[in-house]
Amino acid sequence: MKYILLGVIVFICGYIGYGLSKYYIVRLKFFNDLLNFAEKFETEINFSKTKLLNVIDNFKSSSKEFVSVLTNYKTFLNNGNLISDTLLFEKIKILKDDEKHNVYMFFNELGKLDVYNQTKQIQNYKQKFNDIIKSCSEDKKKYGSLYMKLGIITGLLFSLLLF
Amino acid sequence: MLKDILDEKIYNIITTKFNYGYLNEIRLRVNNPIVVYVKGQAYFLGENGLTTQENSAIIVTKQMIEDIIFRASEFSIYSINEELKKGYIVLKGGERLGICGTIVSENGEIKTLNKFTSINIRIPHEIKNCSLDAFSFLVDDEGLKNTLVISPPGAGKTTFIRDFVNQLSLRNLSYNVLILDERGEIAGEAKELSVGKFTDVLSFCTKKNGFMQGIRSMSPHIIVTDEIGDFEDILAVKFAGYCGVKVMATIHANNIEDLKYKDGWQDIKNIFERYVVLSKRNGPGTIEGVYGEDFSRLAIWR
Repeated sequence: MKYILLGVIVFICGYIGYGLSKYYIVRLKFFNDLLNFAEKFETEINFSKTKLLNVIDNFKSSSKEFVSVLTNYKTFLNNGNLISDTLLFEKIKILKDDEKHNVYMFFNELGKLDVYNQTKQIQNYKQKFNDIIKSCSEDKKKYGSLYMKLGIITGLLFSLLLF
Repeated sequence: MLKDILDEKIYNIITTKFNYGYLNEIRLRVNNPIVVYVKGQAYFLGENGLTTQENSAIIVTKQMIEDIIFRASEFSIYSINEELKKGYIVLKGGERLGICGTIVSENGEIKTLNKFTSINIRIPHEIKNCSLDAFSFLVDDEGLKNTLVISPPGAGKTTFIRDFVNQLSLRNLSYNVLILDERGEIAGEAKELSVGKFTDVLSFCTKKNGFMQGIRSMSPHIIVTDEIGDFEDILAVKFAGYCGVKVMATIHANNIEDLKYKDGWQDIKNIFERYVVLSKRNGPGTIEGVYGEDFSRLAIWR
């Protein structure tokens, strides 16, 4: 019984550590998918001139948060409303304010320019997203495993103190 | 469709405050009142519908124009560059969106159009039987006549030829008709306007290519097309004549006299056997007269 309890404490603390490190994993996934989307869109507009809504519909994303942004964005388009940054990022807590601003500006300009200018706009944003991805990867490496390890160590320490 | 491109408020005014069936055109110019043409008459569009008072009219903003074009492009301006270069977009319901702005050109070639300042939305209407008065002059026992429909812009040329084609089908005159619909206005983008059961539609191609391809692929008895203008169009019409295919076309002019001053007049007069002159006198589609190949009046309604 004692050992089971010890295991549970280590598991709970480890899980909390994983939860904290997940923040960095999810952020990285979000920006990777955003970059992939920008690249796909750039290709589509230059070769087949596919309509924006079709590009969105055909894009497969593994990031729940990015899917949510795309869904909100599609709703704005279909309802004919101006994009609101608060509603675009509704229930999304992984983005910092300046990142939100960049993503908002990216979506706000989609489909509104001719091929030449739209391509330049996308390339400009791709550069910004690449920089964010770089910093997200470093954070993930630095803090991702750190929180996980800290969680397990804390769990072990608790166990030692209790028993 | 207008609903897909217009601001909800404006769409509601247009569809609920007056008879939408009589609406011919909507004109939006930046910082100016919205102007609508109803039964050929110009009015301002206000919150309560049509008005002649400028101060109660809705004023067009730059954002309003940009939003309409953005929606008309299905949120993809980059995909309509060819249309922008020509200056218009055709919507799914056959409405034509004429656009003005700044032309961007390079080495004399138009690259695109941006900084939009005006929009002219033309609403196509089916006026049932509007071609009936002239019908018997254009088809007789000998068959179809090469016909040129003449009128100033907005006087119902497209409506007339659409109804004529439909009348052929309604009478089961089994002429194979090919509509060469360069801008998708005659039959609509997806053939949603009534053009009859003996009709094929070749959309969005130039007259030069369309006449050649259409004759080879569909062997029509008659080709119906809108707005012949330049020398290439006249050559395409002549080509149909050499192939034994009849043509019904339209041209911008006020009357027969004006037509004589047009480039290519010598060619035109050798092709066509009937001339139908339309005006807006009693609303778009008013037939003013039908003339024979020697320009003698066969019928006059004035």
